[in-house]
Amino acid sequence: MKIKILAQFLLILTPLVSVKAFSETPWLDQKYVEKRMKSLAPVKGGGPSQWRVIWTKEPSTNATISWTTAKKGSEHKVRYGIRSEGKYTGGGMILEAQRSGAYSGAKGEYYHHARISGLKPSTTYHFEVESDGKKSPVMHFRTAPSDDREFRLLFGGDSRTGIEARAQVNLLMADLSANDDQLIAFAHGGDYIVSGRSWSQWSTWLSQHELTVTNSGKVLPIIPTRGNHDGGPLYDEIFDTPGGSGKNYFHTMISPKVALITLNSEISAGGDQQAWLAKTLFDLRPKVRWLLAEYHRPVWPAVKTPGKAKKFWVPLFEKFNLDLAIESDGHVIKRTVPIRNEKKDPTGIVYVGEGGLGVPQRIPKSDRWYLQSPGMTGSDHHVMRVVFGKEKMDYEVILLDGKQADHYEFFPR
Amino acid sequence: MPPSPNPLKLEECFIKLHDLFVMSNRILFFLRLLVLIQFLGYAAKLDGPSALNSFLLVSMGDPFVSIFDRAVQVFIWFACTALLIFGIVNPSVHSMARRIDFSILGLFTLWSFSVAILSWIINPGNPFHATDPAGHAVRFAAPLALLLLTAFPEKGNIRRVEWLLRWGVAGTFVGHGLCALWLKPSFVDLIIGTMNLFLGDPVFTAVSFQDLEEALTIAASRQAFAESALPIIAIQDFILVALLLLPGKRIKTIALWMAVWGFVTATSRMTAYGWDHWHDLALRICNGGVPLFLWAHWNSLESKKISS
Repeated sequence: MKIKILAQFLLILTPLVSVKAFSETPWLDQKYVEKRMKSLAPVKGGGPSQWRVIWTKEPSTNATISWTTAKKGSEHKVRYGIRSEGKYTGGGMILEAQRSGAYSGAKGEYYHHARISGLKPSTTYHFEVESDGKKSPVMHFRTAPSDDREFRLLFGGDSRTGIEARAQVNLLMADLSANDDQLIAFAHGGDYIVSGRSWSQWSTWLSQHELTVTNSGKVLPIIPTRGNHDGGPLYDEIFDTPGGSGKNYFHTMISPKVALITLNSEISAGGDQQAWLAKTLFDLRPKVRWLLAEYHRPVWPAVKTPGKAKKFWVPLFEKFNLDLAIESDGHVIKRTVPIRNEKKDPTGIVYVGEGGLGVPQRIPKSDRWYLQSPGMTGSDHHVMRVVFGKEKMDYEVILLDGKQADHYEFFPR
Repeated sequence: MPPSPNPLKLEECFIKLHDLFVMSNRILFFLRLLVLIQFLGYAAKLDGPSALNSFLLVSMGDPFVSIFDRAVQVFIWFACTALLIFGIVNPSVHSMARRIDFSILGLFTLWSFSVAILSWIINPGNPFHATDPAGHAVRFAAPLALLLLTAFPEKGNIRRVEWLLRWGVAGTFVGHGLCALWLKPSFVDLIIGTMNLFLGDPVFTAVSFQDLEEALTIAASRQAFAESALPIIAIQDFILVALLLLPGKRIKTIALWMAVWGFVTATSRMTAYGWDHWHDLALRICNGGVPLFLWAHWNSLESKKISS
């Protein structure tokens, strides 16, 4: 009798516990994820879909708004401006897409890029994209600051292969973004999909990117990095050739005191790119408080062997005292000890990341000397959040359930 | 009535004929050493995930794939030791030791072939990885050739194995030639890194903005040099392959040049990236080693012909 009562009690309690748990992290519920994926804007007809905001060099005044249509269409434009009480103050601006074209290997889908300039720093801009009279919902993003205020960025890499896990991480990012006005952008470390030449895979990724948009319409601008699975022309067609054709390396002045250097580990690391890196570091280091670099293949890997860029880039990172290097590709969580001259050194460079935006996770080789405590390793889908303050830079790794897997504080050099 | 031939002289003649076609143990041992060094390179490379590991990751997951890689690594270490011992002891064809030897060589062939194919499969759409089945050809041709030469050392078989090796070298040179023609970024870096080693790296030595401006010019010129040299290297590779595969011809100079070039390009992994990349050289030892083996074999054939 007692067992029967206990069983009934458990039967009632289990869904209640689940509802409570999933109410805070609904993306852990498979049905919720499936439902959200079904509600994504379809790529059909002449209407806009797969919208995204791209940041490259000067995000306090510039942004590229991009989208997809299933037909070539004739008129593609963005209406944007500062809104107050549901209306654009000053009437709003209208900008025609400067670059449109057919996605390589697609079945009639087209990309459109509207490069907006002259924006005000630290300002929320609302926008809607319109193709042949069909409009997207009104969304908004915040420009980067031109002063030394505190803000946050998300980092992560390797969203390939695990499509459902990728959707979950995207929903986590939307949740983090919704609750945080200071969170202004997301830097992707590369390997978006398995085959960079497959339009169908990119199309799925692009549609799922909509899951990072919050319920209020807040879009996290993306700072793209090319990964080893992102070969081919589609990357440039999707992200409007960030950093220039054949290069895809650039630096982003996110604020006057924070710079992110995006490198391309899929082209020659020496030669032009190395010299550009040296000049950029030389130029930026005296100006900024926080100097970061992001690239795909790790030079201090937690799973694989070091990338070839190690020889060309690491001496420069050390010479110019980079504050943080963000890597992907290994499919784990890692944070190295500070490294200088191939040794643990408190003045050295810390390397974090390795990619967990959906890709199946590996087990890190935590016996490597540079991953020993106070370094860390782990294995789970995750996103990294960095808070750029005046006194310190806070780095944390957030897992799908919202728990913190790692935390580290950096102080100005 | 004609005099009957002296049976002793006939026997000598047969021995000489046999010697003409049976490969000398010294040359076979050289091939064995090449295979051994190459697999030490494979073992060292298994400190990172193999192509098979990446291929199985989605279906099998970690730790299975990591344990598998580790098991292969340990197996290769033991197998290399066994290969060396069998090469020195030279057991008879029907002995248990020789059967183990054959099994190891068979598994080595299978491993290097799988890695070549899977490296292509796990990187869909990547033109450089698409050349891996050809570019790695000499890596799986070498253990297979050693297996066949040890198991079936007959005249006809040696000729077939020689062609297997020729095609293996050809595949490797075509694969690398295509990558050079398409300006594979890592090849560009091999040239730049090697130039930096011998001529100094202007970027690292720069201390002022002016130095950096100069370094930019030098770096750009080195990159331009590398990018203009690679298509020429590609054409050279294709011509060498055509000459190596000429039917009825054994051009020793071509084999020797391919050996030198194969060793130079394999060594560039160390000159560009440092001594800790020894495993990259070891893995590619057959790129130069197998053409050198062919050259040595052809040389021995020639000298035997002259002496007989």
